[in-house]
Amino acid sequence: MKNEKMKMGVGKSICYMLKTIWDADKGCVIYSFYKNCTEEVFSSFFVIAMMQIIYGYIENGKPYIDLVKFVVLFCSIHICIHLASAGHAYYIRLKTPKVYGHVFNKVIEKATHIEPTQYEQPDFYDQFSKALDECLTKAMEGLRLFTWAMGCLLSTIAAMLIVAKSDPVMLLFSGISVITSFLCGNIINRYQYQLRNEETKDKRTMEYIKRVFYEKKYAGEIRLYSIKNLLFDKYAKSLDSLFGINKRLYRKIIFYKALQNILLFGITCLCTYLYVTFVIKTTGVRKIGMYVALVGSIDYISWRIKSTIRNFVDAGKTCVFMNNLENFLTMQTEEKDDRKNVSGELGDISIEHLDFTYAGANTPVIHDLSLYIKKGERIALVGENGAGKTTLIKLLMGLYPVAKGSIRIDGVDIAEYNQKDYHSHFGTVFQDLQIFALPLSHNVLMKEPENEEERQLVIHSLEKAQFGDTLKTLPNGIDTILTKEFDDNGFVCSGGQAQKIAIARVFAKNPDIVILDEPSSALDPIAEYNMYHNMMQVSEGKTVFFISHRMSSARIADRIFFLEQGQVADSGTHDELMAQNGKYAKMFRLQAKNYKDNHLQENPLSKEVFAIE
Amino acid sequence: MDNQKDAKRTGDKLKFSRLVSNVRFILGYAYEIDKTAVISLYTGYIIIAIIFSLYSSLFLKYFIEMLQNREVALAPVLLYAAIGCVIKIIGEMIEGVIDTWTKYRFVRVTGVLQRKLIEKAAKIDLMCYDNKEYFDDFVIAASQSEETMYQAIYSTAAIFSQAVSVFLLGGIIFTINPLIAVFPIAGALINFVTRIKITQLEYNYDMEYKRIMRKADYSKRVFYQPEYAKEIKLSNIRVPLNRQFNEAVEETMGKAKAIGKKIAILSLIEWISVFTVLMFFCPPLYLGYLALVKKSIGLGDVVALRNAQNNVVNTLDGFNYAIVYFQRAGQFIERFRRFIDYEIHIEEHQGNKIIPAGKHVLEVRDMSFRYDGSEQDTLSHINMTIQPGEKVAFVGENGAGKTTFVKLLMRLYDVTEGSIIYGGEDIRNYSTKDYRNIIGAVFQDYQLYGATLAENVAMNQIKDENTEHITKALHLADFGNKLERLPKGLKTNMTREFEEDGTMLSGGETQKVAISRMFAKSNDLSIAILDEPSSALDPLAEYKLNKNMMQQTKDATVIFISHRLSTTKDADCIYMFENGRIVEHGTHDELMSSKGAYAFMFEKQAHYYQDEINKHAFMRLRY
Repeated sequence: MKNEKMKMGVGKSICYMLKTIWDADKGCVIYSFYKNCTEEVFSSFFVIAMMQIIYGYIENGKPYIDLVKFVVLFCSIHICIHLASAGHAYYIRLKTPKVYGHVFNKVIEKATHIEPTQYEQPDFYDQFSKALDECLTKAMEGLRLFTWAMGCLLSTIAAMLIVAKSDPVMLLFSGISVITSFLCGNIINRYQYQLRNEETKDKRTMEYIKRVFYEKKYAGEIRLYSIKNLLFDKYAKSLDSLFGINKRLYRKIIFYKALQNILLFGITCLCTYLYVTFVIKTTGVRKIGMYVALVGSIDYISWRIKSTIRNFVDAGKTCVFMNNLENFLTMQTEEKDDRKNVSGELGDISIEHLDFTYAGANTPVIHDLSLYIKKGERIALVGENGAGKTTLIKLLMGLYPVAKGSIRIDGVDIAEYNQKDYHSHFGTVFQDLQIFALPLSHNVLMKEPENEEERQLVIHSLEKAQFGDTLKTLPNGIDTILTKEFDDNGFVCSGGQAQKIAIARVFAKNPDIVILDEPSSALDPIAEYNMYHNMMQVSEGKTVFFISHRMSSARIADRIFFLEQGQVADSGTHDELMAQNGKYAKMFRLQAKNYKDNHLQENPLSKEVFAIE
Repeated sequence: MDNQKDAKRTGDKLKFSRLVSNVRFILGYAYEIDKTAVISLYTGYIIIAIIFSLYSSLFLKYFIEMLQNREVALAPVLLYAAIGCVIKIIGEMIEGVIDTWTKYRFVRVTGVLQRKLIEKAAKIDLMCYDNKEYFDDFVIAASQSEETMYQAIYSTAAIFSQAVSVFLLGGIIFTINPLIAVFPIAGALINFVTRIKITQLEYNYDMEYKRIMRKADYSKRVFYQPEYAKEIKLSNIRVPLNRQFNEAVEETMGKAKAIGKKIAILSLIEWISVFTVLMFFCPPLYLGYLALVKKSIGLGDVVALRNAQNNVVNTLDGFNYAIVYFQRAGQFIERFRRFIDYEIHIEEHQGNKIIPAGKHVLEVRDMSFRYDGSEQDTLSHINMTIQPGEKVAFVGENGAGKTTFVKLLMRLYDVTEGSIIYGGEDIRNYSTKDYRNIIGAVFQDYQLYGATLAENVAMNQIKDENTEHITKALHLADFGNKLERLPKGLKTNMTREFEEDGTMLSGGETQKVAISRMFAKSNDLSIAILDEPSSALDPLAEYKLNKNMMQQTKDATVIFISHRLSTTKDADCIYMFENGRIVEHGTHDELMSSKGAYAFMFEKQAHYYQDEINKHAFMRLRY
């Protein structure tokens, strides 16, 4: 039953492979079929018919010139086939990158339309990379194998027809081949399928451990701790188990493989020889040449059947990888975005009774949260790890759908807005901001500058973000390629410089709402100070959200929301919250203590303050 | 570095002898792991080659002659045919068995080989991971060695057995008619020359393709790395990235055009000369001439010669494939052979001094360090003395060399100049393993491993049931709350790589686990090194961590890097790094009063908190 299901799946995968390549380049599919079919069918004629005729000529003492004419004719056809093959190889080489590009663009296009919540699924990137990594090589390989298998099949039929024409009895013998190879082949495939299933876990374990040892990020810890012994042990265990599974199943596979070979080649061949001997010796027919050629052709047919089956199985195995692509491309996405655009600027934000629970989690991250923010306010979100700060921001940006409660801006539910357009009103600096291996200008505009005006905008934004001095030292200015990924002269920026570029992005975008997600946690103090200074400039007149672990940054906010377990536990200005002496105040004092203590020694003024407090 | 560049330059033109030596090298490994499998494979292949060659030529020749000869009766011919076929059946059986049997034996062979390689990978000096070129070339190559081993073994077995076939068939051809041997020999020569040339072109194209596709691969990578996702989702950066990808694709198509034409022409020359002219044209004409015009040979000879010569050509075709794989394997092995041959300097160092028990002074004397291939020192002329039990902080801007310095202290690298001295001896005189045993570290890029939580804390196998110290360590690292919520507790599997029920921890939680490693080891530590241990923690957790850290490591030396100067303030000594040098050092108070770089940095950071104090103070004064 399972086996049936798998076969159905294989058929579907092969169709999907053909469809994918067909969409990318029709010629690849047509040419491959043409080349493999003609090549293989003609090879049947060469091996069987040509030999039959030549042996016949020799046996019957025909004039030599007839033989010459015949050979010349056949060889001319042969050369034509070579021409087609060479052309095919050239064509496929040429078009492979094109097919790759086609698949890539489809996957990327899809990826940008996938619900952001999908991105948070742990296996999303796994699926994503599988869709991209294997599919190109596997698709082309699948096409080659499948068309080859088709060619082999046709060539088997052609060979059988030739044999049938000479002596139909001999077809019986190749009948044995067909039946045995199907029966044995089926059993072998079933075991191999079982093998693949059983060995998955061990193989994955071994792959994982391998990766740990070859990837740089693990290298330091591996050397300093003895975790490696544990991993070696796990590897050894998995290898033993893998070997055990293989041993157990291969024993059976070996038996059927040997049986298949014996029946397929051995028995058919034995029968053929005995039959031919019998016919010639008892009837005295003088057709030895023909029969000798036929003996060869029975071998040939068995061999063709074997290659047909092998190629079909291999094609199926290869095309199974296409399922990854199909799964990815048919992944559920947001419907076509025909929602309305934001008119004007985004203004006051009102969040009411918001609840949010991650898929698979039991407890909500955001629970019955309500708040109101006026345009142009600077808001700090503080709280412990996991209090829901980042989730709240993601909900606000429309990255997650709101299931319960509402988020409205100027009275309009944000779900009514077109996502792409809505996002364009936000400027963000993430903690893990990324620099792309593209020219500096692209990194600021996040697209190619189209005219001089945009180029000027890039320069101004960089200057505002205090990158101006560095910019002057760059020989190619804003066209400098960042990172050394492919340009040995590329500019590698420090953490602080990267942050400045990210800030320049915000300047260039001139958004309505600015979001700074833990903007300073990776920065050294000087860079942090400068960063805040710069941020104040960007945010003139804009609504700003800070998420930070350092209370010092919260101070500059107009209003602070202290989140705890998905709810607003405290809110108000810094002074109000300090006066309330709640959780915020406690956390702030804890962190400020060290700085204050220091100050006490130097500043008698504050000593007095503390005495009073 | 230079050596490696040389090797790279000559990489695509490896001498044939080097290829052979490379393949022999890997075969040596296979032989060492499973002699039976290797020997059986070679013997099996050769036996099969002998049986099949004889079957298709001599056996057939005598069979035809017996059929033609009316004096031979039915029974002996039948017997002859039966014996011949039985031998062939044995050959078929051997083929079926040997192919499948070796496949599963090689599961173990490649597995063991890979294990040897990862054991080596765990020991090669960290330097190898830092140099991108080096890393790609030999570490990555080693990770893909299994496939290469298959290729090396099967291609050599095929080459050997094919050589036997050609030799046998050649002998048969010679005994019947030496002249006809000219065709397969000429075929073999043309074949060999064109094949080598084509393989070379293919290899060059591969290299070009890889070079160009680096751009495309970069775009691809960016799209499926989670850290880029937000940025891509929220901006239009995908447009230029996509364009970069498409340009790379265009460029490869250009290259494919140029090189593809050459390959097509060479292939045509090969196919037409070897397969058409020398196989289907000349031999039938020549044999026909002998049989029909000269009448010097009979049908049996014609068939035997024809089959023998046909077989030779087919064998050559197989030979082509085998040679391609052989060459590929040889070239690939070249890349990771250097990995295996790599002489480990630091990791396996045994030392000539025994590390003294107890806690000792750590001293750095005029130490400089430069990365391989770098033009300037990352650290220059560092001097410091750290007393046992001292708490030391390293501060400074990003890229000032702090992380490199602590890695030198852990002896992950060796100093370029000067020395690091522990207990009165240069640390290079101790065995690396012993020296590292006295050190506990929390790295900046801490990782979790595919094992249980307890094992991730102990960083070792958990042999006894006594896990109290692990639970305690997790509590000290403020992981207690989370631990209680994990249904399987300490036995929870980390990562979902291969355990369905694995748990994914958040960034802060992961960091806490990394920190707990230090607490779990705290009894045996004499030096604790923490590289930004609280970067992902909230203030409350950071506070707890600091408090626990100081209590738990009472008499151990603690070295920590932090950007939060409030954390480093209480250190016994603070070292301020700038551009690979120590510009200031002293206690917080000393540094503050000297009003140097540190004081400036501290003021900047304290700005908001101090501002707060001053504001209150002013308010007090006013009212």
